[in-house]
Amino acid sequence: MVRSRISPSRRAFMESDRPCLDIKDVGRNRVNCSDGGDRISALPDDILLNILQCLDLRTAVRAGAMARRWRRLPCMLPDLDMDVATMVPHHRLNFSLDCVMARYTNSVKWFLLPTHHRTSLRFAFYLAEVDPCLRSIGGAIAATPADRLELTVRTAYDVEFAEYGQRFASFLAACPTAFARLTTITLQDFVFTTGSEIAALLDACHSLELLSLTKCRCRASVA
Amino acid sequence: MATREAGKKMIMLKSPDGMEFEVEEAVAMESQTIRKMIEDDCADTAILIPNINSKILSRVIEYCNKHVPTTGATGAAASDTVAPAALAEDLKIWDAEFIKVNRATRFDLIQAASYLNIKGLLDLTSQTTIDTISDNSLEEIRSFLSTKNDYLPEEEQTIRRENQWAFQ
Repeated sequence: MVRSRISPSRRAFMESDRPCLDIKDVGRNRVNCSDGGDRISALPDDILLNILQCLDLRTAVRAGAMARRWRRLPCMLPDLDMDVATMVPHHRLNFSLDCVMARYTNSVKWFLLPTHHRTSLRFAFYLAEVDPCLRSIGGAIAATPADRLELTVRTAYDVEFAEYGQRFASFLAACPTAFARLTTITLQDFVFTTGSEIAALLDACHSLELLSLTKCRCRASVA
Repeated sequence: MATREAGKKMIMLKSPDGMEFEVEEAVAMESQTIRKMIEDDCADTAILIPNINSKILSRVIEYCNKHVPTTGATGAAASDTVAPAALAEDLKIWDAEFIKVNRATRFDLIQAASYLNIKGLLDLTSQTTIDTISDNSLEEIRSFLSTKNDYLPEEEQTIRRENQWAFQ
């Protein structure tokens, strides 16, 4: 089974751990071995981060709450993808936009607390009132160094169509540094008043590589 | 069976508990850490692998042996006649059996794969951990990973409140 050139005495040692050469049996024996305590917490940060990075954010946050050793690890994830949709409780069909966005804002502040360089940061949230939520999120984004910064903003049908454009303009004006650093912007379900909002956006986003408009319309075309 | 083939350079790997493993250089070079040592001429007759005991090191060598690209005429496997897809499938099955170890061994293997920089082994061992804990509750994750909760109950409550959405 082992094809390396190992001297007979070494081979005897290695095989002493496996009385039978059938791999299946070996596996079963091992599974029955003693557990050995908390080994994973002894692994270095980069390995634990590798593992957390492959989990969904919810499980990663839970794992981060296991013990002190794990406490700050979720905040150190090199790729962070925060979608407000994952923060809506499954059992609540009717949730208030303010409540969900307040929760989202707190989480963004919690995750971005250390000024830790990221490979990529992705945020997706609703166009709520600029104060206090969007201004706080913008502030946190502006303070975090990252190679790629992606933002998706959705409307939540909480106001008249005409107010979206106005609200978005206020968001842009409140967080110029954050917008200047964004590499990707996606706007979903927007109704623009004149289309001048897009021009203002392009003017503010100096690092922008991709702008996507999904299900967006201009007010003139809305009967 | 274990006769030395002409032209194959051998490397001696030593574990801290005094065991020595003679392996083909190509097998040892599956580890990027060892590869660098060899390429930088830091490897004399034997390389001491600190922190990895002989039991784990022998398993790592077993993995590298299986995963070293076969260059033909080794006589070890009939890989020359097997299609790459079948070979990949065979490796997947082999990996699945290989990783059927207890948690302590798995974490030792993760550590070894990380130190020796063997990406395939690190991915394999980490993925098993990821599959185990995905979508589980905090208590289940703790139990699966055998992690000791060192928080006071009120501290844990505070932590849960910080990201309440993740615990609902």
